Amino acid sequence: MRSYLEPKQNRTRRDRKMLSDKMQIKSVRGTQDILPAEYEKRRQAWEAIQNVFRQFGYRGVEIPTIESIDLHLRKSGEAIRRHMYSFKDLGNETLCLRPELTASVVRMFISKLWGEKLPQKLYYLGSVFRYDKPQKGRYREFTQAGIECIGGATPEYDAEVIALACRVMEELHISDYEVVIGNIGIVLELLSQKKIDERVKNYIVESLETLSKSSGIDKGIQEIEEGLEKIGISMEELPREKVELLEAVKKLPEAQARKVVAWVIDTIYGSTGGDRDSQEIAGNLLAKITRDEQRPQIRETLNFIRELTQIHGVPPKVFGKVDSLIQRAGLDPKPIEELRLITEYLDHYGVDWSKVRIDFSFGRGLAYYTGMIFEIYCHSKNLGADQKQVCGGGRYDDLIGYLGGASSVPALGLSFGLERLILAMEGYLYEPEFLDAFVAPVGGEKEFRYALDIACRLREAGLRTDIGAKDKSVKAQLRMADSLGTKFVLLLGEEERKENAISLRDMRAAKQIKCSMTQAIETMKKGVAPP
Amino acid sequence: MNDSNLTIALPSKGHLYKPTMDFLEACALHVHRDSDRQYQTRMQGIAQTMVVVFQRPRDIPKLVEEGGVDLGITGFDIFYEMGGEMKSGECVPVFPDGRTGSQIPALPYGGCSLVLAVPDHWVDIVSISDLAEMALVRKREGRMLKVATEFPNLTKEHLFKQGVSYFELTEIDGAAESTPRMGSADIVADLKSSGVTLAENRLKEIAGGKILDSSACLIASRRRLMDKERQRAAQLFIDRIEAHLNASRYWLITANVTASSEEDVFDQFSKNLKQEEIDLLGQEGPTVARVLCLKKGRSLKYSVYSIRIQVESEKLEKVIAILRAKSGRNILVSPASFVYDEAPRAFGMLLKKLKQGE
Repeated sequence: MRSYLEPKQNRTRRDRKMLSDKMQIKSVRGTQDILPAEYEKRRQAWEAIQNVFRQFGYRGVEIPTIESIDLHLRKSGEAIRRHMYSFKDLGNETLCLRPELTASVVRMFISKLWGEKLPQKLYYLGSVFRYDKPQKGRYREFTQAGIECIGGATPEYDAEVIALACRVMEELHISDYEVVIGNIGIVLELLSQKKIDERVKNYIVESLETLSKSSGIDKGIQEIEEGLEKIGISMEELPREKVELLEAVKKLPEAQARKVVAWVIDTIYGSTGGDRDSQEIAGNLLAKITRDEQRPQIRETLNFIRELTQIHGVPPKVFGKVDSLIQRAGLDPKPIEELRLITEYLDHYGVDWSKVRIDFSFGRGLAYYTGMIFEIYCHSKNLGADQKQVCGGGRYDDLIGYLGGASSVPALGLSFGLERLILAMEGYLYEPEFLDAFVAPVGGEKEFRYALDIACRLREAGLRTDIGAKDKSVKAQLRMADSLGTKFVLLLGEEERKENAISLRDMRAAKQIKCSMTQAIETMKKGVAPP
Repeated sequence: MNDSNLTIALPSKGHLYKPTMDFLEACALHVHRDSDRQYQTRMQGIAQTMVVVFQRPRDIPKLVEEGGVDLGITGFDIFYEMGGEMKSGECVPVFPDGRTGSQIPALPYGGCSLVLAVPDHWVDIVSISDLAEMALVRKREGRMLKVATEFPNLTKEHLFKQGVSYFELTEIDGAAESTPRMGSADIVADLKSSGVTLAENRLKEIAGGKILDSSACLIASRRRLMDKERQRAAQLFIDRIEAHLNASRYWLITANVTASSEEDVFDQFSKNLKQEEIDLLGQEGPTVARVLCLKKGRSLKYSVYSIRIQVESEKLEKVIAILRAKSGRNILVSPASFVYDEAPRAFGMLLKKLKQGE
């Protein structure tokens, strides 16, 4: 028997001919239609995930699919911003389809939940949209299930979020997973200590993700240096004339140097249009010359990151190794202390350390993280090589301030990619019957009316019930019931109608009894009870 | 429009119109248009009926994507501004076969580049990274960098890719180059063919500011060409164009030489050639045929032979030199009109792409 959940595999030539008809409207590239079989899996997975969220005291919310583009321009990472679906609506306002949900939840918190008792623990499920190249397992519209814990200030919340994520994996029967935990705070502190330009800083933070995914640290660092070169920061030795120029510029007080350069610009170009005057241009030109001076600091930062990547292992041993490095660099040990505490709390949650790795140099693509960050990878063979990540999250203490909160509120969160989770849990999902009973009228109008009454009673009793068509033979009714995968069929002919009875057929056991309505309901309820 | 005929959309006006007509004529495909108000005609010179519709270049990608026509010629810049192959997968580029690393060449006209240009007095901005830095500073001051362009999508994509994250796009319909002086934009992304217009408007290109090299391109509708019949019809057209593009790389040379036999001709010419120069004598070798001489008094031992060589354009002079050294005479060089490869490459690539999208 073909399962009613399986989509039709073998299309005939005529089917294909029909499909290639030019009138046919296709689904938009990179989107997917969720057919009943898939829908059932998603429903089960979401139910399990949602249960875990609730077990940890989270409450559900829903947010709009479209948002003002500013919300996502303000603090999303380059990678997301570049792939955003944006458009102007009829009122000429620039909007976007949400590329992720955290910013939206934060916006909602600021406008609707501000002043409420903290922390606000919220969960959500929703589609997000990114204009990526569609591949197997990568869609332009995909689904995220996640939580945000707004106002969760201390490491116990970090531990709770990670533990919750592990709990979800266990609940979904995915055992082959790996959690990587890091703290972006270490690198952020170093960058601000070295007074590195914001643009370079952003670039390095965003590159940490590629670094953790590249093969070998030397290659990774080389890639970062090449990237810096592309954004105009050369790591090569400065040529002699540049060094001399730098020396000469430094000798003049800035205001004077600026005056001279501005005069030269005015002399050559005459009156200049636009809102940049020669003073501004001169100032920027001088700043550009001195910018080359930050190269040693960048070099030191990259070396530090290189050293950080060498340290990995299982807590508490791993912390001993990193302490000395932090001390040597003169950095605040706070991020390390946080991580240490997080791992201690995780012990209480009974986290399996064979599945957890601490990686101090680890970074994530989103630019808003400030502290603990983590990702979960799943090694299921159903997931492609670059689609192993099923969950990611971390702490974003500044985001609420950035997005217009009256003060900054510490917060953290995570999100799961629902489609990938489902691919990873393949085999654990059962295919339940979607019908408990099929009521089959056999005979004429009177029998059909009798069947209608019976179907209503069954539904009232909580059984999922469908009814067969009028004027069909017993054979046709049974065939229909079979294709629907129903366990019970109620055959209602003239005889049954007259006796006010039911012929109840158990399709699996191929047994048939004649009984009363009450008996039938009782039998079916027992028979369809979940295992 | 009869749906069974292969239909191609051509630019109805603009800088691509005349070069397109000339190019097709050079491919021996004749499109006769009575007036510039005529929007539909037929193409002659090919073994099937081909309907031509004239459309604005900007409308052609959409028409192809929706399957309104089988093929279309438009600008590469326009095609990619409208989303390129990424958009729906319904529009398949044929000449060239893609934006980067293409193996099939573009159509050889309508060349220009889409570039970023800044006012020439911005002496501090010479590269895209300078621009990125400036955009960041301006954003902090609450003044977004304003970019005017006819190509917002390509411009946005390029700026993001190059690390310029903060800017406002002003979409305009032509004459972008005048906007910085009028104060309605700070910089522009505009088409440049010679650079004169930029200079006249006191703008300069910056390093890393080239967004796209463009020329005319041929695109195909996946939906229409999934049909085998239409594929066969389209192949004739595509092969003809490919053969013509191939031909521009070659010359045909014939010359007369004196020798004792066909083999002697070959020996004379190949004797001193290095291994890598062997293709100077044609793709597979020269064709040698005996000339039936009318002049009397020729030695019986030696006859006149005609040698015929197909040679790549840049090697022409070398071959002439060899011919002269061997006292070749009556050297006749003629252009090739069509050179067909053993297997159709452009059409093969198109088939591959059609299959990928299934």
